[in-house]
Amino acid sequence: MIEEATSKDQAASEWRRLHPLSPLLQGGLTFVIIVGIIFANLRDRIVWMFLPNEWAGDEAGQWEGNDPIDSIIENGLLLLAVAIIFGIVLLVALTTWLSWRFHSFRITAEAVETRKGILFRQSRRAPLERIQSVNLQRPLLARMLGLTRIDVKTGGQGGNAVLSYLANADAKKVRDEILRSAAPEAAVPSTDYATAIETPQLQRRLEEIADEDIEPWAQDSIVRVPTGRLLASTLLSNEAIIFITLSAAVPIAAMFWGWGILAALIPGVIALFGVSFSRFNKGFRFTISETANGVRTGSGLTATSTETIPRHRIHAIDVLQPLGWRLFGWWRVRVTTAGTASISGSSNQSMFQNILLPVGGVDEVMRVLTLLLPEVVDEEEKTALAEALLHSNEGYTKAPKRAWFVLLFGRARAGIQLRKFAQHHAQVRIRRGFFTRHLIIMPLSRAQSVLFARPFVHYMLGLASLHVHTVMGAVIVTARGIEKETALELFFEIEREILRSQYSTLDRSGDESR
Amino acid sequence: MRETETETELDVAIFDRHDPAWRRVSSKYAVVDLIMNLFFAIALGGVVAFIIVVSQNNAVPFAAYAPAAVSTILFINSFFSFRRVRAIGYILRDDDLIFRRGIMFERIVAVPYGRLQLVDISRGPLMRALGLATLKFVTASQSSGVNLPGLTLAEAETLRDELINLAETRRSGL
Repeated sequence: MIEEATSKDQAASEWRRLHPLSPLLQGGLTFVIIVGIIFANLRDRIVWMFLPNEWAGDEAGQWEGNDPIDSIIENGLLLLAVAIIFGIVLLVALTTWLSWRFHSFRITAEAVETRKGILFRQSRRAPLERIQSVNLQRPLLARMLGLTRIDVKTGGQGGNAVLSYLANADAKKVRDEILRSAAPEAAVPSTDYATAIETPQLQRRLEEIADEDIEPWAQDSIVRVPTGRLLASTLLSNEAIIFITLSAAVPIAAMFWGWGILAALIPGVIALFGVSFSRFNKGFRFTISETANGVRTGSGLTATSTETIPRHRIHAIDVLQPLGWRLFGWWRVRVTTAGTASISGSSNQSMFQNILLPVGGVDEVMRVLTLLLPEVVDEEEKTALAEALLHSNEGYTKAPKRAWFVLLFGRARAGIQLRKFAQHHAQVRIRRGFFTRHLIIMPLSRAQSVLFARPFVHYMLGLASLHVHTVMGAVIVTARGIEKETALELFFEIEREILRSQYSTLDRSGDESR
Repeated sequence: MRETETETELDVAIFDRHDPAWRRVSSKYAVVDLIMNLFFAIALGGVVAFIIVVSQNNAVPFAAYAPAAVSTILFINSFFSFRRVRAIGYILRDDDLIFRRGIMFERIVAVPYGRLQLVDISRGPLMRALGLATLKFVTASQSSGVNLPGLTLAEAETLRDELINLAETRRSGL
């Protein structure tokens, strides 16, 4: 059914069904619980069935247990019980089949649409022009069965269109189809994912389980994160350092307030562990590679997920280095994309999402930046960027001495630069930070607005700060403590470049704002 | 894109908040600003007085410090109402809107028309009494935050229509 539906000669806008096993997987937990209850009640009998003489039975090998089956047989209800069980199985099978029948999706020229539900119909529409990224997720059970969930992220809050589940190869085809429809001008090539039929079933399944989902032609572009480095980087992260400092401070604090202070620390410790663990989990077996018009990241130990982000959906890039990573010269790369940071609640979501390199050396950072900004990162630029990352703020507008009052020790590193390229491409680059070092790169074609501000202290010192506004996300494009006159000149220059880059790119990639 | 002489002149003009190139908002808005500041200053002053009376001590209790401080700040703030409102200004350029406000907390924002997602008009009871309105510009960024208070209603409506029009043409046409 699926094979037929995804074949090319059918109209793309036709309604298609998901994989027949998907309702079972969605109700997977219920299934496990039911099996668990049955097993818990009949444990002794099951053991006796396999090992009659050893534990459960008496010497003659007769069953002497006491479980629901005995009472059913004793009361002569065997027929009824079998009928009930048969009825339940039939009902479950029927509803499963029905819900599968009623759950379908289609990809039209304007949107990805899903509809499901038997009594309560639900349909969802994700307009193609709003699609920020397409994720393929494979939870453990689905991975074993060779199934994949597609998560289409739109700019809105919680407005993802989810297709769960499809066979692995089909999911990839559908993903490419969505990306192709979303960016017709990018000419996403259709990759042939069909595995050779000659390959034995088992081998094929194993290959699928280990599959990293990287375009065959993009093997050269892969950047990987070795597990050892990931582990070391987790131990040297800011969270770990805070934890160690806290542990050292506890005996001292206990002298003043007694050991009761330990209880107060527990939530903090749990949070720190949670953050570190999520980071580790997210970065496990991390890969980033090139796709036709963007990048694809993949990671995960038991459950894997790959995310394909079109390049023009990346609003700002932050290359940062926590204090402890200076030992090995490691950096993390994270980006802002629209709609991933939620307004309400879980702000730590954005801590783990949109990380395009969990930990890597300067070379790896440069390779990732090349994937993200291919039009501007050439050899000369790489040298300039590495210089900005590691050494001096040469060529950057620096903070004057009196900016110490607003930047403190971060003054030495602080700097902002407007960099212009051919074809109206321009970037603002900002260096900042003392403990955690940052280099922020913002393509101006994505800017929403620009702000020149002089809060009170800045005003008193004759300084100003510049902010380039992006959609909400983890990366904040702000440079503080700049000389007032320079900042105002820069403000207008940045605005001029914003207008130039946006009005020259708008016709190319449509609405870029969301 | 359009680097004409006028634009360069405008750039220079924006350095000076007194330059006539800035379009101003109605000075009646200063009255609103003044009343709001005084109202909250007095209300918080009342809270402070209440706390002192209730505590029945000669010493001023800790709980009164914060509202007292805020009340004082609001009171001082109200002296600058007229100056502050005179500092609000905006310029409609070819491709973007430039907005400024504040003297000691100066902010100048430039928003390309193509980035405007929606334009709101809001009017509180005090503003309505004086025939004023606030124009609010929303972009995809949470922090752009451009509020243009103290326009007359007619002005606000014309400006809104004009801006929506500009946003439309800049989004698709260019």
